[in-house]
Amino acid sequence: MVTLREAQVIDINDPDKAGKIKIRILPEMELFKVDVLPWVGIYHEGTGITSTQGVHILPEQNSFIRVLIEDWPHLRKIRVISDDYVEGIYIYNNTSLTQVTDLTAQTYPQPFFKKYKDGTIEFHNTSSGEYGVLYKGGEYEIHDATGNYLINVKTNKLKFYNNTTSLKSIILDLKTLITHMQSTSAFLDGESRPCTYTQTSSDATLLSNLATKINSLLLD
Amino acid sequence: MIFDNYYDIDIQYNGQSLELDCQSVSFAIHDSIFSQLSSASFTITDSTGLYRNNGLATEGNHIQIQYGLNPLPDEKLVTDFVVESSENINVSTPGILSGVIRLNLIHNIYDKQVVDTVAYNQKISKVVEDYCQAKNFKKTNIEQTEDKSIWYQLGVDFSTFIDTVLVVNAYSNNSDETPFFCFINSKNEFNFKSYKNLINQTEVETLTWVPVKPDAMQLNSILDIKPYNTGSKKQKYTRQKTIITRSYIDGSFVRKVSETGNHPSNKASSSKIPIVSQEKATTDYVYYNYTFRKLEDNNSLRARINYDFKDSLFIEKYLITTAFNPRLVSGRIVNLQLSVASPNGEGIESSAYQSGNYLIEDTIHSWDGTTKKAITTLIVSRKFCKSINKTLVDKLVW
Repeated sequence: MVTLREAQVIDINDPDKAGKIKIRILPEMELFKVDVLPWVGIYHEGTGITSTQGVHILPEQNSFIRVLIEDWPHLRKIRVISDDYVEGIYIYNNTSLTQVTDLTAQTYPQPFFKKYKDGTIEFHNTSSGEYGVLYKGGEYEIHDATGNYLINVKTNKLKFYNNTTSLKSIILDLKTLITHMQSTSAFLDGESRPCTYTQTSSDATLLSNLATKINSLLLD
Repeated sequence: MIFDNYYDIDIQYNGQSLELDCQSVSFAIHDSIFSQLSSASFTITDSTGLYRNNGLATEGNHIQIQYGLNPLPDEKLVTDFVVESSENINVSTPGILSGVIRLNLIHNIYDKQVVDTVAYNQKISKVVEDYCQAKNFKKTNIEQTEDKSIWYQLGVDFSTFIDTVLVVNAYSNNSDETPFFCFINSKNEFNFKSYKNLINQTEVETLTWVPVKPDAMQLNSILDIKPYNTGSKKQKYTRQKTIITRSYIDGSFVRKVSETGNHPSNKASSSKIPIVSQEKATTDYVYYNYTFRKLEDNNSLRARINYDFKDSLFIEKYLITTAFNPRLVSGRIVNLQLSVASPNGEGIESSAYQSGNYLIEDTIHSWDGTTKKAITTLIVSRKFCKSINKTLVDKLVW
């Protein structure tokens, strides 16, 4: 007999590293000791499963889920098929996106989102088109309603790089170039006499702040 | 109480002997290898209505029936029953609730069942052994199994748990790929055994079907016999199955053909299944899902496959009536000595094809106080015959 039941996740550290989780079927197993609870597989959605492709996402410990028991009462083939629904702990009212200052005011039922244990939220307002991620430290990235792509790393840094160079390295080189160009002997007039960059003193602060800004925003 | 210097009958009601005249009561005690709990019906003439008035027919009352033969004191049938339901067969006197009361009884362990949620991390035979502790069975016959795993009793009583989980998943290396049966016989003996070990027992009686004078009838004389077959509508699907499992390692599907002759697989080469068929054709297709990492879990998977061959075990049957014989209870073996007319037209001769050992599937031991008749009715069956029947030997496929 096939039956659908509620369960709670007890352990996600499968000793076989095969994506199984230990569950407590409720209410029947409520008082069972942990060592007699079953390890069960998960029916994921996404890529199909072969030896070279698949999905590895596990529900968090202590969360509520729904399981399909395909061989009741033998309980040898149990599969997690979805999250459970508990009205009193529904996630919407326990979630705030106000840290995303570039996000417009949101009205229920928007936005749709997925909130993880560490506080990371992937969100999408399907009406306004706003789409982004709010990370646990308050950093975020967002594709806003007008099509702009914004990244705010708060007091942390960005890094853009490939195998040979990085954006920081490029900008630092440009800064160096500008500094050289500012020096008295960098340019000669028609009579081979050094030219003077007339904005040196006023740009000195700008140049000094540029170094600070680069080191503040960009990671080596 | 000894009646007619032969029958030993006693009825106890809630622990007290009823001291009844045996002619005023009738009863029938039933056991079967297909039914975990033995049962009985008990009728008594309540001419004044006082029996019912004093609660005899009330659900939950305890009735013990002792039924035996004076010459065979060790074979006496003794079972504690509980009243499951009751009815008046008739109300005989206008104005008085009198008449014949029939009590429908069931083994008293029915009354002790508790619906529970438990996990057992043991082999199945141990789970059953623990269950039988302090249950006052006369004897327990529990075959050891090799299936240690976690077994879940979830919101059912233990009797249901045995029928739906333990019997289905029980596996022993000695079972020779045959399923298990769990039943309490009319001697209050608890049995948890594979079909192989049931049929390997020594026969308890040899029953003969030969014409004799009434005064020459003996305990092992067959009074009436009716041969019949289970029929292919019930068991044809077991003849040859395509069994599919799935490897837990790489998800590949594994096909295997299993025939009825594989359950049991070890037998004398002369043994044949009495089914004539033109060819061996696939008659069933079953997907059993994943195999398992642990040997014991794979043993239970084999047990479930074996269990689905259960209907193949009872091909040829006989419904037999004998004088009351307490040796004959379900799960035991009898040897039938059957005869046919001699081909040369002179008298009768033993039928080597039909004679042989048969498993007792079902018994009813009855006492009719009105006629003072004590009868045993049994159903016996077998899966294999010895292919001595020359006209069939080439046609029996398995």
